[in-house]
Formats: sequence, structure tokens, C-alpha cells
Amino acid sequence: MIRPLLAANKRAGRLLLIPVLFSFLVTAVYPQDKTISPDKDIKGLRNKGTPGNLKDVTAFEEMFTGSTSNSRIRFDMNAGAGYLLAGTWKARDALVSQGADPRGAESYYKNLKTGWSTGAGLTYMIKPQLGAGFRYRFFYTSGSLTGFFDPQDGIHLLYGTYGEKICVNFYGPSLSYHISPGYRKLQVHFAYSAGMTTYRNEAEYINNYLLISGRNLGIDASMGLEYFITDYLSAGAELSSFVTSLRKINLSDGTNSSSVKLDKKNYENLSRIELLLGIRFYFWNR
Amino acid sequence: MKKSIYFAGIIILFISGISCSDDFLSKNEKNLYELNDTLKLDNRQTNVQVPVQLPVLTDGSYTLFMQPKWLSFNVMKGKVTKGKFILDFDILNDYYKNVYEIFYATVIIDIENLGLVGFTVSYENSGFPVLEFTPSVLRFDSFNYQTLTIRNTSEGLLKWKITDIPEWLYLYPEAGSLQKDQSTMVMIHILPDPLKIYGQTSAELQLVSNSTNGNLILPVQIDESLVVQKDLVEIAGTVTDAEFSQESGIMAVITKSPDNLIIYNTSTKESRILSLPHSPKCISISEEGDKAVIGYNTNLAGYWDLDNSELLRDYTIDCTPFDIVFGENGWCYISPDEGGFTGLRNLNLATGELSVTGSSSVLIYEKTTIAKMQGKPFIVGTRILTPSGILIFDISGGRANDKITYYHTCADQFWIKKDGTRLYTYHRLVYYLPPYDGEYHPFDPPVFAHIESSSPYITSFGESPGSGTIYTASTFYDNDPQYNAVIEQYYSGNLRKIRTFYVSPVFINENGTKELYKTSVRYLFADKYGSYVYAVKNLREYYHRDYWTIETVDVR
Repeated sequence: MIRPLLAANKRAGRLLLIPVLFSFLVTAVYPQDKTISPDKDIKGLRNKGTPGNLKDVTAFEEMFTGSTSNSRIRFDMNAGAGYLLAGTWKARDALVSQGADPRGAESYYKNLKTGWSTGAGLTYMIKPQLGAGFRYRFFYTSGSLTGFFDPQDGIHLLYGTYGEKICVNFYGPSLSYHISPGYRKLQVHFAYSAGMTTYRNEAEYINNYLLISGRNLGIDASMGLEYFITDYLSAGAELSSFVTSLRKINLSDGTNSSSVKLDKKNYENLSRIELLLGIRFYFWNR
Repeated sequence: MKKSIYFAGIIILFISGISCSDDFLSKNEKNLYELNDTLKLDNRQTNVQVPVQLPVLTDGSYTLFMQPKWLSFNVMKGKVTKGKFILDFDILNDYYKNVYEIFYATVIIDIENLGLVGFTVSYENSGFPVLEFTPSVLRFDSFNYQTLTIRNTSEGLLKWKITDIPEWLYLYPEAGSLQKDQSTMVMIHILPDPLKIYGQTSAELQLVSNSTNGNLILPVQIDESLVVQKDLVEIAGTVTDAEFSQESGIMAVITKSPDNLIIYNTSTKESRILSLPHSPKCISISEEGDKAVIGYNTNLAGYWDLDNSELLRDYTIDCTPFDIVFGENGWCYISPDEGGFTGLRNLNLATGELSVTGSSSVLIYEKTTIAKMQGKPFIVGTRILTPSGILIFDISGGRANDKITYYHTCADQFWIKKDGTRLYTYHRLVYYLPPYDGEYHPFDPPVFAHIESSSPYITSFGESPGSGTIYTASTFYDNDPQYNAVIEQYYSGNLRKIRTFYVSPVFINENGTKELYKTSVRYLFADKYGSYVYAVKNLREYYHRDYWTIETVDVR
């Protein structure tokens, strides 16, 4: 299921690789022995006759254990902006051909592509560097264009609003990898999540209202940097790429409902990139 | 820490809440109302403000939802107050430039608290046509039709229509449309009969159109000779009786004030006027039209040679004549004007001998109307009594036989069929005329049929044996101007109506101006060939004045 999803969103799919590559890069900069076998080094320090200097030992541990926090539970909340990656020029041209003002149509889709995004995640840190959990993401965007539209009957013009309110929910299991870049108050993390995406579009087409909905699997990959304010609270920023598209949509006007299978060329591309800011809570120390 | 978790939970609930409501779909449940009125626009308008009154007194806002492309609304939203609001828009006249027709579209307005309200709007683009017509005045001096040419001399579609057409004019076509430089001809006919009825000599036709020069007037003028008959014969004085000879075409008319005998030759249209020595009361002429007997308003009767226009002899008699019959046998017969029950006077024209028939009976009464059966020695009469009875006298022996055939019926005024087989009566009943038997019959003679005339009574009658037709006229409605004076034609065999002829009005000079008066028929005669009917007419009774004429009606 993921393969065709990525195939349909090649450009967005490539974005998923960014956090992956970056995690490999970070791992390469900080070698495995410093991060994977700290006990050996600590023993070495202790054998060098500095057993009494526990403070230095702790600092050393914090520096090389890979994760700044020693908590088992991590809860994060984020909010920020998202940008849909789907091309809109076809839709824009269609809107213009219906008599809409070209600049208005351009602005309409520009607004629609940019929305705001929130999310939350709950992670159990299996190891200080590795966590598994559940991730939820919500994306909202809207746009409206008021003016004349041509019903193409050669006689009339319609005056009204063309608008959409789009909500995309995502929820699914996640895996995360946390690493400290060398400063105890900073931590880099990478998270991958695959799960269900639900789509809801409240569309208005000049006095006609339509609910468009759908669902499909989605993949979210993110990388972030966080700064520990206290041992249990940090603030962070993350860059996320989300990939999914709809192959089938449901239409409802409140009275009648129908399902439409979309052509391959017309898959509803909901892929986006996001820049989020948030806070993280850490519980239950080891 | 806990506060932060609570805060995060609230945000998540809020997000869930705003993302799961389908209430907005209820906006699809709007009612659509359609107004029956059509807003009509045309290319001569630019800015239009139209007050709209909804059938319901609703308040709220409105938004224009649908409009034709050729309108530009100055405001798309507004307020509705008690169901009223004003639409203000411009018409984009260039949208359908050079396309001349009517375009229809729909305007739909979304009204708060009500729904969608739609109505039809039409836009007529007819350009800027200019109507020109020739001639500028229509003058009719004959019944020949005339043509009116209508032309569109400018860009656009000219739509024209002729209105105010009088009843006596027939136009075809009455309306049409013309592109630039196109023209059409309108045929205009005068309808003679309605022209007689209305007696108008002029009219103004309205040329109603979308021409930029507005509606135009086309005067129509009718020569007076078309309204009144050209050869209408005027009769001076008051007609007291008239007779007609089908054989010679001679009509004899007697008048008082002045006391004249007018001998009118219907073939040559010539008339001779003979002055009478006394005021005439009644006249009877021979079947050949060469002789006449006249009863005067005194105890006198006169015998006249019509061919030579001379009085042959005057006779002093014992009564004032009421009616007189020329017997074709050297005798004439006179019914007295007064005396109650009396007898028929027999006057020997050669000797002047006067005798009385039926003086001892109670059958003959004063003012009995008498008429001779053509070609037969019998006289038929009816009394002024009720019932009038039908009297048949035998004059084969010169003096009328004392034995009188009598039928006890109500015939009143009557006319004998030329072949003597039927009797046409005032009440429109047609009897078989029974043979003379000198007997008293206390019942009606057999009835042949009933004449379905437009009037309930007949006051004038004519018969044309050559065409097998009869003609009737009536003064029954003479005091009611809403009824037209007519002559009705029937087949004499089955009495089925053939045609109706209208009686011509007359112009009378009064203080230098001509005034039109309607007339009605008082005596009606038909030629024997069925070509013409001659109507001796007077002004209708509601005028309370005399103006007698003779009108010839072509009934071919």
C-alpha cells in the first residue's frame, strides 16, 4: 500500500528521505562507540583513578548516552504552518474558465495551499535513543472567492462564493530516534509514522454546499530539534513531511451521497510539508 | 505540568469539534419561488431601477444569485423591507449589438429568511428603426382598395401595428416586422355595409411601432358619395303611399306637403313630379304601371294616366278613402277611412258609378287594408280589428261580390305572393292563401311557414319572382339606435335567409353643414329579375322628422 502511495507522490515521497538521510548523517558524525558503549568508557575513566569525581562522570554520561532525557514517556504537542504540495494550476484554470477572476483564482489557491497544522505524540522510550508510540496530526486550510461565475449556458452569470474548508486528520503508530548533538540541553529527534488519514472538505459552490470526504494511508516523517528548559520540559521545532493521496472520495449534499473513484491523474494529493513549534513533556525516569 | 496537559486536551477537543459538523449542508435546503411577472426591457433603456414587491412581507438581506450577462447590477446585495426592495442595474446594450430579437433570461435573488426568488426578464433589442409610410393620407372616392406602404429606413427591427381601425375598414396585414430597408404593403378595403351603418367619412389610423419617431397617424378620408348612395332620390314632402309595377319598373309615390305624385322610373332613374289637387291618402297602380288611382284625404278619388302624366278624371265618393285598389277591370275599389262597420266601395272608372259591397255584413270595418292579387280577379283585405281576419273579395264581375270569404285569424298587415298562393303577414307567418269561396271560416287558413327575420314584425315586403327571393324590412326597432335598419333577403321557397343589406344613411344640410342621419325602410319593392331592391325610406323615428328618399340596393 505504501509503495503505490509513494509512487503517486514522488516529489512528496522524496521529502520523506530527508529525515532518514539526516539521521544517518548525525549517526556518522557521532561514532557508534561513543554512543552505543558508554559503559566501557565510563569504566575506563573510573579505572584512571578519578572515581571520586562523579560530577565529571555524569557529564560524560550525559554527553555520550545519545539522549539528554532519561525519562521513559515523552508527550509532545506542536503547532505551525503547513504547505500543500499538490499542483493547483489545473484547478485554477478550471475556475478561471468558469468566469472567475484569474487573479482571484490565483489568490484563492495560494491561500488554500497554506494552512495551519497541529499535532501531538505520545512516545514510550524503549531505550534512551529509541521510542515507539502514537502520533496524531491535524491540518486545516481554507479559501474562498466571491464573484461572478459562468455556468456556461451562454446567458447567465452566477454571483456567489466558491470556497473550501479542508481538514486532514492523521493518526498512527510511530517510531522515533533521539540523539544529542553534544550539548546536554539540545536533542535532535527523527520520527516516522504510518497510519490512517481522513480527509474532510466542506465545499461551497455558489449556493451549493457539498461535503467531500475520504481516507487513505499516510506517512509522516519528521525531524526536530528541542531545547530542554527543565529535565521534564523542552521546547522544540520540527520539520515534517506528510505524504498521502485519495483515490476515492465520498460526496454528500446532506440529502444524497455518492462515492467517486478518481482517475489516476486526478488523485487528491494531500501531501504537505510542515514547520512546527511545540513543547515536549518527559515523564517516568529510568 | 497538569495545567499544560489540560490545555493541550482542550485544544485537541476544539480541533475535533470544528472538524466534524455537517450543519453547513442544511444551507442546501433553500426554497425556490418563481414570480409570474416578466420584467420587460429594451435597448432604449440604459439604467433601470425596478421596485420589487414580494408576495410575502419579509425582512432581511438579499443577494443577487443569478443574472443575465447583459445586465450589470450596481449593487449585488441589499435590504428587503416588508417584502420590498429596489433592483438597480445597467443594461449592456452592446452585448447583443446587431442581433435584433427578444432575449429571455432569469434573475434569481437569494433572500434571507425566504429562499431563492426568481423571475423572467426579457430584453428586446430592436435597434433604432424608423418607420416611414406612403401615402400620408388615404382618400377613398370609390370602393376600390388602396395600398399603404410601410418601410423601415434605419438599422434595427421595426415592429409595427395598425390600431384604431374602424369597423368599415378592412386591413391586411394589420401588423408585421421589417428589417432595415424592407417594406411591406398593406391592403386597405372599405366595407360598404358597415360604412353605411356608421356613416363616417373620416378616421385616423394609429401606426403603433417601436420606431424612433414614435407612433404615427394615418388619416383616412371617405368621399361622401360612398357613405350615402350616389343616386339616392330625394322626395320632397311626406310620403303617404307608394306602389310599384314590376312589369314597367315604374314606382308611384304620393306625398303631402307638397301634394305630389312622383312617378319614378327605376330603369332610367328619371322621375316626374305631378302636383296633385288634393292631399293624397292612398294610391294603386296598374300591373303595367301606366294607370293609377289615388284616394284623397277627402271624399275624392282620382284616375291618372301615368304614361302621359295627366289626370284622367276625379270622382266624388261618399267617404274618405283609406285604401284603394286598381282593379284592372275598369273598376277601382276603396275601403273607407271611417264609419265603423261599413262596406267596400266599388267605383266604375268609366261611368263614375259608385256602389257598396258588404254593407249589411259585419265583416268590413273602416281602415281596411286591401290589395289585389296579381293577374287574378280577387282582392284580399285585413281589418284594423282584432282579429284582423282575412277577407277575399271576388271582383270578376266588376263590382265586388257580396259574398266575402272570411278567415277568422290575426293577419294584420299583409303582402300577397305574386303567384297568389301565399300570404305574408306582419307577424312573419306565411299562410297558404285559400281560394275564394264566399264562406265564413272561423279558423286560420293553413300555415306554410314562419319567416325568421331579425325583427319580430315585418313592416315592408318585396318579392322578386325572377330570382325566387323575398325581402323584408321592419321599423319595429326604429326608436332604438342600437339596432341597424336592414333589408333581409330569403329564398321564397323555403324562407331560408340569404343575406342582410344595410340601409344607407343620408346627409342633410343644416345651416351650411352636413349632418348624417340614419334611415329606415317604409316601403320595399323588388324588381322582377332579382337584381335590385328599391327602398322608400324616411329618417328613423327617433329623429321625429321627415326626410324621404329612394335607395336602390344592388342585390345581385
